[in-house]
Amino acid sequence: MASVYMILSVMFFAGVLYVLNRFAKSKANIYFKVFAVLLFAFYMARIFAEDYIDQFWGLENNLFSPVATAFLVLLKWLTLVSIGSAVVGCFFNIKTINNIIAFLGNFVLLFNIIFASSIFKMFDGANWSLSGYRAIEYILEMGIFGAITINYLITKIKTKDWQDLTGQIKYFFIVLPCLFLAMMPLSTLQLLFGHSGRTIEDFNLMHRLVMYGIVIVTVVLFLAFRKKDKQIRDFALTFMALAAFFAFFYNHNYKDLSYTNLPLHLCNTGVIMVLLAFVFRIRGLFYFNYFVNIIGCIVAIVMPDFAPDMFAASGMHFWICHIYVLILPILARLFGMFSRPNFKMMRMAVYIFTIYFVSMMFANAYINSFASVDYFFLYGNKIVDKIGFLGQIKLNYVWLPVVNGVTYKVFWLYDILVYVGFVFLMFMIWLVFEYFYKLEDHYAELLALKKIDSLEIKELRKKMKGRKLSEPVNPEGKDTLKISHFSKVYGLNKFKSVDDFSLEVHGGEVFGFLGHNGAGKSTLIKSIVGIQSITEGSIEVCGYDIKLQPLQAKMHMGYVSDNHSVYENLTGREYINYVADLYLVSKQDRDERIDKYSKMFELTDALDRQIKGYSHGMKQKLVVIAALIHDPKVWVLDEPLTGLDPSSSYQIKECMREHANKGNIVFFSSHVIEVVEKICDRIAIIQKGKLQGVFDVKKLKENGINLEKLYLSFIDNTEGEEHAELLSVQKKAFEVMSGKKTTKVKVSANKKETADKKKTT
Amino acid sequence: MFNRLSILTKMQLNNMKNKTQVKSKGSKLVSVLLEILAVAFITLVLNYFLNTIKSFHLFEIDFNLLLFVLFITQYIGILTTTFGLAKSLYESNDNSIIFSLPARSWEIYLSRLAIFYRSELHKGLYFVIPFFVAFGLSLKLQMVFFIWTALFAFLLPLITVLISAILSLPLMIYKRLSKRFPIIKLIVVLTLAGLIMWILYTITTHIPKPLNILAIYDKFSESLNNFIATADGYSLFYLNIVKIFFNQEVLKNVGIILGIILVLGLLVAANTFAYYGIVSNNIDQTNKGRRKTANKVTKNTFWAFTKKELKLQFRNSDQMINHVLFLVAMPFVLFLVNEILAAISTNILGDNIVVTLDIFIALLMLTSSNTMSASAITSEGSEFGLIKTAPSDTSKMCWSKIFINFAFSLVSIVATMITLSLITEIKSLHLWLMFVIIFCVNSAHILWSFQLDLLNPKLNEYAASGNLNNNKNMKTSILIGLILAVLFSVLTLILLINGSPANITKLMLVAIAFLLAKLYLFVLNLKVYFSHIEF
Repeated sequence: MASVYMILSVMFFAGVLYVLNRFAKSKANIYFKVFAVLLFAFYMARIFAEDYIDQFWGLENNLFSPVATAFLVLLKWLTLVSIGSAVVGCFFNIKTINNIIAFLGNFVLLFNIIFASSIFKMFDGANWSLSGYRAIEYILEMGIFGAITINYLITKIKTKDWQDLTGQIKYFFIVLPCLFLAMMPLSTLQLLFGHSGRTIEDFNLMHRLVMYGIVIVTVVLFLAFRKKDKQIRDFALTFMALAAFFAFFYNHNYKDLSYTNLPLHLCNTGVIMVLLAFVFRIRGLFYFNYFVNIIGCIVAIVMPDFAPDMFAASGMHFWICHIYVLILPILARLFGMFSRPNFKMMRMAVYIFTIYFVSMMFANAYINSFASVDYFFLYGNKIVDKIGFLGQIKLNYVWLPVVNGVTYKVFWLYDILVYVGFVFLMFMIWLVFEYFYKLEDHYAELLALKKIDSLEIKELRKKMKGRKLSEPVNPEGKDTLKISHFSKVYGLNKFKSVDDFSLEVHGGEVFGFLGHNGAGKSTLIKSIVGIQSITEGSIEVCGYDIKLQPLQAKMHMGYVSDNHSVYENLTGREYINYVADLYLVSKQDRDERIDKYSKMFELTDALDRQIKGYSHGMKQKLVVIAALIHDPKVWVLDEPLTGLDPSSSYQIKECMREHANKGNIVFFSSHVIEVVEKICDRIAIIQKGKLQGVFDVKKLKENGINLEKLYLSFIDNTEGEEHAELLSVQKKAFEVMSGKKTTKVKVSANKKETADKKKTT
Repeated sequence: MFNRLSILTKMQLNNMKNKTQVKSKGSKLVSVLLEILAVAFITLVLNYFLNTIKSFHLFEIDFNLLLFVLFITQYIGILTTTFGLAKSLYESNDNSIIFSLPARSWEIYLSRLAIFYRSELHKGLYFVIPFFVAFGLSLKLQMVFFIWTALFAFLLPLITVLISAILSLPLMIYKRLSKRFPIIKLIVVLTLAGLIMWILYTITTHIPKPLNILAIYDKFSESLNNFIATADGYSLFYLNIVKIFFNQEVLKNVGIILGIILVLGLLVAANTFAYYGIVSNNIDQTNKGRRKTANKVTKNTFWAFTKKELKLQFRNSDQMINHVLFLVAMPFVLFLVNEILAAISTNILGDNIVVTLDIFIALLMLTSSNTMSASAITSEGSEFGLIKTAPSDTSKMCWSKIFINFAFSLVSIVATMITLSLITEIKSLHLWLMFVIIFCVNSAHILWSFQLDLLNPKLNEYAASGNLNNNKNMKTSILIGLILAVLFSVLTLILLINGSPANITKLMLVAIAFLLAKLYLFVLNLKVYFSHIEF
């Protein structure tokens, strides 16, 4: 008879849902969602009463044979998973979950119909009645459940969604066990296995395993879902939040209704708030859980104050709820359901915590005047037992307001201290979270950089077209320093420090690079020698790409920096030998060159003294010797003559000329025009990161062009005749270089800015 | 004048801050809130501590104790500030820049003092002031005590800085002398170290064996009170300050303190005249003749880096003394600890606590010395340009620096283990456990510290200032070391309490796994980030 009523109920509800879907079409599947909410409500109403069978331990009971009990317990489990899937699944459109609702749901429904009377017996004992509250409730519940599952099946058949059937079956059987593990009636282990004889407490083996397990499960869940669709991740989180919710209320039935059992403890509120936060995306509730409940759960898990038999429903209740409330906010954050917290969110969490805390303070004071409660452990001695000195404070600072003749007790200082302590812990846990966010960002960046590095190697392989990677990428440029469309942006700057700079310097040239301070000279030089990265473009040194073949390119370069930095505690000789070691220079070569250059720069006597005793000029000469120790093809110098006396300056200039005469490239930057004019073959002028022009010094001299005026024409701010004169010099210089007359003149960047400003005014 | 002074001070303060992190209003508020909470928390802990002491009758919570704590903390403050000021006033690399600014030398001098005053003020908030408040609460003293506390929160740092400024001058003269004749420094430091060791050793020989603290508790307590009272005889004018706190001859004592501040101020003012002369006299340019040496080719890049590194380490007398002291200090400290503990008749739990304590102290000392790795790249400064332009696998430079830190640590660990095996009765299994844990955790910490610097080198800052003061990586390294020492000590104690040999294996495996994990992550970071360092 029970089965008949159940069939009728299913037919009725399934028919209603079918008709609604067919004749009152809605794109949002609103009717399924309404039925899902109804199913949730009916399930919650059912578990408000305790199942008769849950009082037993093991398969022996006075209702069924052990085999039948085992079967019914498993059916109950299956039913719960199916109900959970239907409740959450209706709000998502995930193929595997749809299949689970359609197939597993109907399979479960069928078994519930067949074994309806046994199920009712399981609920109410041998004296169950069809007119009883739970039987009627369950018939209606199964009707709603059946309506959803049958209509899912009809939709499945109608849409003929059978493509990749093997894949669908595979995912069905992969996801199903996961759902089983996530959602389980609390009494399952108690009924199937009886007493385990073990408890989870005091860091015993089981306790440790549970703690390790929590970490492992969190990591596994993160790894399993991190690359899945947002919809799948949201489903998984909501399903687990529902599992926690179901688990929590499974143990709160009408028989236990008392002030003590009201869900007002911190972690109790967590179970409810996690589900509400996930379903309605309420940020305030989420961050309250994220900062506050997590602390509570960690404390509860590490120091459980509740240790029944491991398989007992009450024990399962304690552990499942706390574990879910601990890991769900963390996973929700990791899966991007909620953003990283900032101060505003922390403030929100503190506000809600304050409201909760004050409410509990007064609830404890009020209810304890006629019943015994200890919400958030603010009234009892749980916290005092752990933190001894609070005991005195609790006893000595009591506020005893009398209202209508009733005396209430508020441990005000103790409460304030607990509050402050908890808020402090919230900030501490925020710091921990921040540390993990940094780690997350760091390793994301690391992986991205690693990928870029491997892409660069691929790019090099592609460019080499089967040749050895150690060969020059551009064999024709073996005597050249080639800069192509080079741009550099520092950090998060929005402007380019050097912008689209192209230049070629050839063997035998002394090339001067002119520009005022901050024009971009050092930036370009540092990128040429490999100290700084290249944002755009490429730089080739003797045919080697500095970005893709840095070692080979550097082997052909010598560099003298603008700060002549050397290890002051080494002797000059030790320093040069150290550099020679890095450049793999043979003993014979280094002996020969050290001897030659130390004589040339008159450093022979000082070479075996510690560098800290050297003068500025001596240090600069030492750096020059070190830069030439491997006889580089390209010698790059950044402001090499700054601060040198005339004699030292002369020696270095001579050395530069001599090096170029051997067919090498000498590339140096300066803002001293006389120096450039005297020793350079060609010059380039850079202003505000842009190349203004490349000029042949000999040609300029031959045509009587004053280099100083030419240089000033690019940077000056003068007006009137003087300015016109400079522009004419510039015009002439361009004409000389191009060999034809030109009307175009480059206006200096400063000038342009002034003109722009005037326009704006 | 005040305007220039204020600009100079602000400029130096800004330079000390991390300019890359722009703090929002919210995070500033959080920082302030956290500081207030921290100070309140420290006060609470100290109050609890004082009350506990009171209930145990270990020593009296009275005038003498307050005086003892005050003068000890102030003497320590004077000592550290003197060293800090000597470096900042006379040796700072930015002196050459700051002296070129349009400011008088005494304004620069005072701005340097202002920086240290601020720092002392801040330090005071974290111990001296909470201690005074906790003391006042503990004895339920009158409001006037707390008002004096608030006032002296500002005056005590001033006195410290003024005294330190005066003392920094003779210290500087000594430093200059020892720089010219390093042997002086070596003799002074080794003599001091030897003296401290001898005193400590002498104290330990006076410990009665077997030591039963309960039996001699009253005597011990009395001795402690006597010691405090005797020590207070060396408190100088701090006695007058404490008298003010206890309302004893307030006017007279306030007069004395103000007089002392005035005299100190005058002496500092006199000091300012000599300041410029001392700063501008640099002995680094002194040339010393050396005989000609031959050019040598090193086998590979790693050895080239290592050779250079060793030369730099050995030629820096400060570093050299540090290394020598460290090599001796760890075995000696653990020898002392075990000597004291050996006097106490311990059960199995006690033995386990001894092992744990040894591990904790060793890790604390070793990890705090790993700041060398936490500043390894930074300390290259501008010289890092050479590393970037060299055509070889220059990441080997990192391994050579790690190798040197590792080698010093290993020698120290081995020396400690040999000392412990010779003088204590710790089981050999426990000695091996200690060795594995200390070795693995310290090695992992070296890698971790290096990684901090690898990811965030302060090359430009070091190139500009030439010193590693306020280096965030070094501070973080010390903090990580402390956390690791606590974590592994707690873990050791928990697992040793069970007494199962399997737990010893577990502990060793945890330490080895930690080292391997850190090594893997370090190599990963080194491969990716080293080539991306720019400056």
